Amino acid sequence: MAAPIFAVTMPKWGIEMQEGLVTDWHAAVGERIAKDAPLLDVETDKIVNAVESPVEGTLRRILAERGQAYPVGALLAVYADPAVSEAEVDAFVAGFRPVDASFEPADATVTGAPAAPIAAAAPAPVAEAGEGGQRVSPIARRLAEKLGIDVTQIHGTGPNGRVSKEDVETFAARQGAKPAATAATSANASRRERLSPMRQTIARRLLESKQTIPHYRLEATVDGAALQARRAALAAAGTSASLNDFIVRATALALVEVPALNAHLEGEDVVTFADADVAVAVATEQGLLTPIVRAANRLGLAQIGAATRDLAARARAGRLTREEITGGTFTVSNLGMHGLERFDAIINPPQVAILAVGALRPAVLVRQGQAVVGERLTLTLSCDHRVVDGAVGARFLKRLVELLEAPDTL
Amino acid sequence: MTLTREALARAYRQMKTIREFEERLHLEIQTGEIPGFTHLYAGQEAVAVGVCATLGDRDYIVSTHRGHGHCIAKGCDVAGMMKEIYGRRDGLCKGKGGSMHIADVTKGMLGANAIVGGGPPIAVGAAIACKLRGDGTVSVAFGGDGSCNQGTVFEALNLAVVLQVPTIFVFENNGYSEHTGVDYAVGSKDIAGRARAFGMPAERCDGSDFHAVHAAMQRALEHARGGRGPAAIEAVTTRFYGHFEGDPQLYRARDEVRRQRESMDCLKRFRDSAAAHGLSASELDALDAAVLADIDAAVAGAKASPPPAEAELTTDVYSSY
Amino acid sequence: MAQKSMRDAINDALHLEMARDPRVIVLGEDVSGGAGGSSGEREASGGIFGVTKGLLPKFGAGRVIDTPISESAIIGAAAGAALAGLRPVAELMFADFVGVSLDQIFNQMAKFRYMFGGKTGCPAVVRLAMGAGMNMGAQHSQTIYPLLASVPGLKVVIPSNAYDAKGLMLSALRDDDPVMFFEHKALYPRKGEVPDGDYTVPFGEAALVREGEHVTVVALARMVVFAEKAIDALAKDGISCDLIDPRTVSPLDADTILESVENTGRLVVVDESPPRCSLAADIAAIVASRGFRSLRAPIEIVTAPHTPVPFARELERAYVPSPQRIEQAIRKVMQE
Repeated sequence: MAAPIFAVTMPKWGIEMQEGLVTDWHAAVGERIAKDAPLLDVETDKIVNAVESPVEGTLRRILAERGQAYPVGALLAVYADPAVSEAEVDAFVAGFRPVDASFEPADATVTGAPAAPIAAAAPAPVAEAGEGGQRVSPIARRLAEKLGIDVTQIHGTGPNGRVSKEDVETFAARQGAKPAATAATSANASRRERLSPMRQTIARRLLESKQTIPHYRLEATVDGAALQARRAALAAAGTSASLNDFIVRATALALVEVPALNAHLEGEDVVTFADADVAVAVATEQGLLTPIVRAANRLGLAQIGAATRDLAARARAGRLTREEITGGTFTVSNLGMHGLERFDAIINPPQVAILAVGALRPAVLVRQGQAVVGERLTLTLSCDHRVVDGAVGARFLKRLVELLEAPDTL
Repeated sequence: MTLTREALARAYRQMKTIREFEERLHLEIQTGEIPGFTHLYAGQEAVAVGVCATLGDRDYIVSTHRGHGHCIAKGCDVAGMMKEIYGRRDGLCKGKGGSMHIADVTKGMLGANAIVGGGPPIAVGAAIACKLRGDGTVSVAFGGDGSCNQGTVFEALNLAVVLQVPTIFVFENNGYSEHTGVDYAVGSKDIAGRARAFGMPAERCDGSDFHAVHAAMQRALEHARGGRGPAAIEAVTTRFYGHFEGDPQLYRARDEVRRQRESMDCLKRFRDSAAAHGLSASELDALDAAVLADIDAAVAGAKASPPPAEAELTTDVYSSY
Repeated sequence: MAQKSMRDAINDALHLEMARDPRVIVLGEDVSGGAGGSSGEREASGGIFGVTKGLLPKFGAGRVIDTPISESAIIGAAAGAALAGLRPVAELMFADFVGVSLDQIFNQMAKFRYMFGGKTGCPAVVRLAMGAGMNMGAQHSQTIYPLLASVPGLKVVIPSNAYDAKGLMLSALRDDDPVMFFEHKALYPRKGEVPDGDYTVPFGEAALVREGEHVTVVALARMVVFAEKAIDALAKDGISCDLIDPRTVSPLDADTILESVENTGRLVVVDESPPRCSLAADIAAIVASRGFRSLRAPIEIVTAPHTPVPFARELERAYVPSPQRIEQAIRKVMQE
């Protein structure tokens, strides 16, 4: 043995090895180890191999535990002649300074930065090709998100049809989108988060709606007695329908009778539809979604109930398809479950009207000149005055109230 | 030409120095203190020393990535080499070259070389200088069996013949080009034969036998110094360690090195015939002790030597700029 | 998703594509290793960095070819095999060995398509392990990609992480042009999330690794890792940066860099190569000429010095651009 005390250190195998995992020891403290005898096993991300004893000697200390990784040059064990005292061995261990064999450049430790663990955060895989293999430059993608623009709607002019920042800007200019203003900072503790792409889309569309559509509102109340009686009868017969199912059904029928509200305003054209594709607002953690009950005018209460429950569940699970949320002809927003008396809603363009439904609440009603205590539902209809005049909206709302107060026909 | 007792003792001491230098490096590398990528020459000492024992400081050698033995045999300062391998300021190349790039032009050592086949063309150029000087000096191109498959080596062999310059190509056939066996990688399995095909005398010798290498070198020198152009030697030898330190050597049978350390150890074989050359075992023992002391001192010196100053990073790129 | 090293990610790509496409072959020094050795192990090496491990047992010696140390012949043979309909992957081991084989790369494979009037391509991939920092000395540490990026006809790929490495390798293997695939040695053990299946990362599309508003930082290979550190350290001072990893430098996604500089007005380019005729110089020139009006500060480049790679640890640590130098450069452009 070269010296009375000999350090066994983590060897460097291969070229880029920086640390090794001790997987097993083949010797115990106190044993005399022959040169080249297998001493321990070390695993790297390339191989598992035995560390052979570099010299002959008596194993006095094992300092590396099984299952632990140690950098190249770390002290794994100490050999010492029997004449060397335990205290001397301890002093050797305490005084051992491993070599810095790392590959980091000289001033790798950035002043003030916390010490980073060896394995830094993995870079998040980047979705390379968007939907349908669409190519989008990273800056363009970011800008589109900022503006709440769906990049799949943009025609890319770059190489291989790649969407560039310029393409997004051109698109945005056409759409009139503007980046959201930065909020002022305050002394209060706050958390800043970028809007999700979905939230950005919602924000952009609602702002556009509120700013550009001349909304007016009409309000009517529904005496809920007949509705409640009908629901009770259905429940007794073993079927059930929610209040919302009645409202969607009645809305669809009223829309068919007053098609001016079952319409889209597209540029200077009004498109009216034969069937009522009723969008039903669903609150999800990510934001408001409006899945569509197609041709609700052709569906019975039970079918509407099944369809809305399925859509709402999938909306909350984030599993709606693009078709299921695009192309509605009218929207029903029902916040009745929150106990609200009434509210009004913002039209979801290119639709021309939206119905806001309050809660069915106890109220003093006037029936045949008598004040009675019953239940009342308040409906608020928002219309786009550019295409729906007040009388037309009123006709629709009147018909809707009639249907809901005579629910046996639904 | 038979060697004197003194020359033989010197040769033994050099071989032992190379051996202990490498054995010690094998231990020291495990501490992690030595940077980089080190290829040990242990096992091949008789080739370097057998060849270089015939050369003077004005003769040139070019070496390989496995160059420590050539450096020591050509007279490079062992302490300076050790410092270089540790990457220290006072190393032979100021810590800028490292194990694979040790050079000392004052000793005719034109550099170890990390490019397989990088050296032989350089040796031909040095031999052009020797020929022009007309002083009887020669150049030696050391290379491994792996290098004989490089196009640069073929070009150098041919150019030396065309120019009739005094280069001796020494192919150290240690059985492996990196991890691949020579029987697989050298198609003809006859490296000397290849050199011969270029138009120069070439012979194969026992690379574990100092005397055999020395004798082959004497014949090659006689040819080259006689103005008859290059010559080649294929010395069959072995390496006692991996391609580089840390090589797990899975391509070698587990006991191959152990057997070779028994049968192909040039130091044992030298000792076995030492008495016949007038060298006693006790004389050799004394040399062994002196060598160990030298190596201890070299390692201690290297560890104590400071690292290069950071300002050294940008010096020595040009003579002037 | 599985955490994999960059070594294993590239290995994955080779396995997938060799199974999918029988035209793919692998050749190079010790790509399996052990041929002619005494242990009888068929695959003693699997590449000196372990990147080609497991290919020989699966695909056989006909397609996984150990070669002698003959870099010109390895590259030339890959070029010829590609002309004859195969899709070879030639391993050059250390990128520095480009020096030995340069003619076959830049006079031969790079120029076939053009010289032959577009009648044939050369779908070969050359794998090159590069990079300083491991004390391997002047001839085993260079990042010589600028040399090859300057050659028309070659595509040059420089991944910075395991995910990209696999996707870029699969793209390289399916590309009809010669692809120089540079693998930084210090990144081989670095792990990242890598999906098991087949996916590609396209050429010519940069990755936006960090998003910010003040400075555009462009970095390659290991320098991406260091730039991330620098940028994250600056966040506490309210400085935020776009970090762009071009991933391929030929083709180079200049649009993404220019678009980013339009937003930030400031550019720092980080390149492990020496500064002259480097990718840093190239990118700085592109932005200076095409994005001049966006710039609010002089462009900073952070590179190795104009020296060979030194051996000594202390010198090499000073040679490799560090996170701190990157941080300083970012602070400097912020002062304008």
